[in-house]
Amino acid sequence: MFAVPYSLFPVPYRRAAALQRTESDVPDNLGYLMAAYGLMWVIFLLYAWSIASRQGQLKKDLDDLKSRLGRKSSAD
Amino acid sequence: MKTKASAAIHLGVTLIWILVALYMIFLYAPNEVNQGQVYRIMYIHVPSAWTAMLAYFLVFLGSLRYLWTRSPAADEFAHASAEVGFIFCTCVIVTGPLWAKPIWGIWWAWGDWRLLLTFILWLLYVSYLMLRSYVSPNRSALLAAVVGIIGFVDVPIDYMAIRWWRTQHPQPVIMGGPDSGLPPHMLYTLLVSWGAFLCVFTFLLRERIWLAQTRREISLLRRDLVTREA
Repeated sequence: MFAVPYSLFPVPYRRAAALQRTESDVPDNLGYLMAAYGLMWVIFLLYAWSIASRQGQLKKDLDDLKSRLGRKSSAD
Repeated sequence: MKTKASAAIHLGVTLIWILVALYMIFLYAPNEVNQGQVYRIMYIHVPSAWTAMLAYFLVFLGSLRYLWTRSPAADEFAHASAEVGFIFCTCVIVTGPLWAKPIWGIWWAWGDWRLLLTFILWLLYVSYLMLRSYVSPNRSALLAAVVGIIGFVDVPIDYMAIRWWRTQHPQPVIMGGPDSGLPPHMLYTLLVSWGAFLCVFTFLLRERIWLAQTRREISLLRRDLVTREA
């Protein structure tokens, strides 16, 4: 296999070949792309889980306190 | 009940908006000739940065209002904005190097003003949240409000850094002057993606504020219970 020099072709073909070569030569770096999107989802989901678990705990505390206050009021 | 219903609607709109944004990011927006696929990190990196700056602006407003009125609601608003803003700023700090490495060949450039000031913004968020955690509750609100107001100086300088100084970081793509800008498909995708980030931000913020308000309600109920038992 050998590479044909682009200078042998007319200008429009050379331009087209150069464009094709540019696009195919650019690496996709999909690993970086997936890492960025993956980490972003992990960060947001962890935070959402943290809020949900704190809310769950507070709801329990609130219900407990309300029932204790209710019992206290009825006893008084 | 009403709050639950509106939260569910908010969450539904957010999820739909995220799906639309993902469709546009991966299927509608064209490939970038010089960077290939990896440029699509822009659609999460830039909106995260804008939202992190907006969140600190809200911290600033909440802190000012707290110092003016000493209202617990203002303090809760500032605290909630700081916590959610920290998450967005962390996203900026994480996704930035993952975009920089394949394009610039380096993970980070300490001499770059935009990068440095964004890192300082992240440290400001950390300081604010550490103050809230380690200082006694009576004093932490006041001290955090001072940090929230003084730290805000960083935000406009960070925003303007790529306009004032030549940096490693790319020049602004929106409102950056006559030679800047994005092709329409990329611009629409970026704006829709920012819309999705704003939906996520406002949803997390309202849930975090609910958490703070419920905590305050519980402490009032506890005080009431102790008074009755005494």
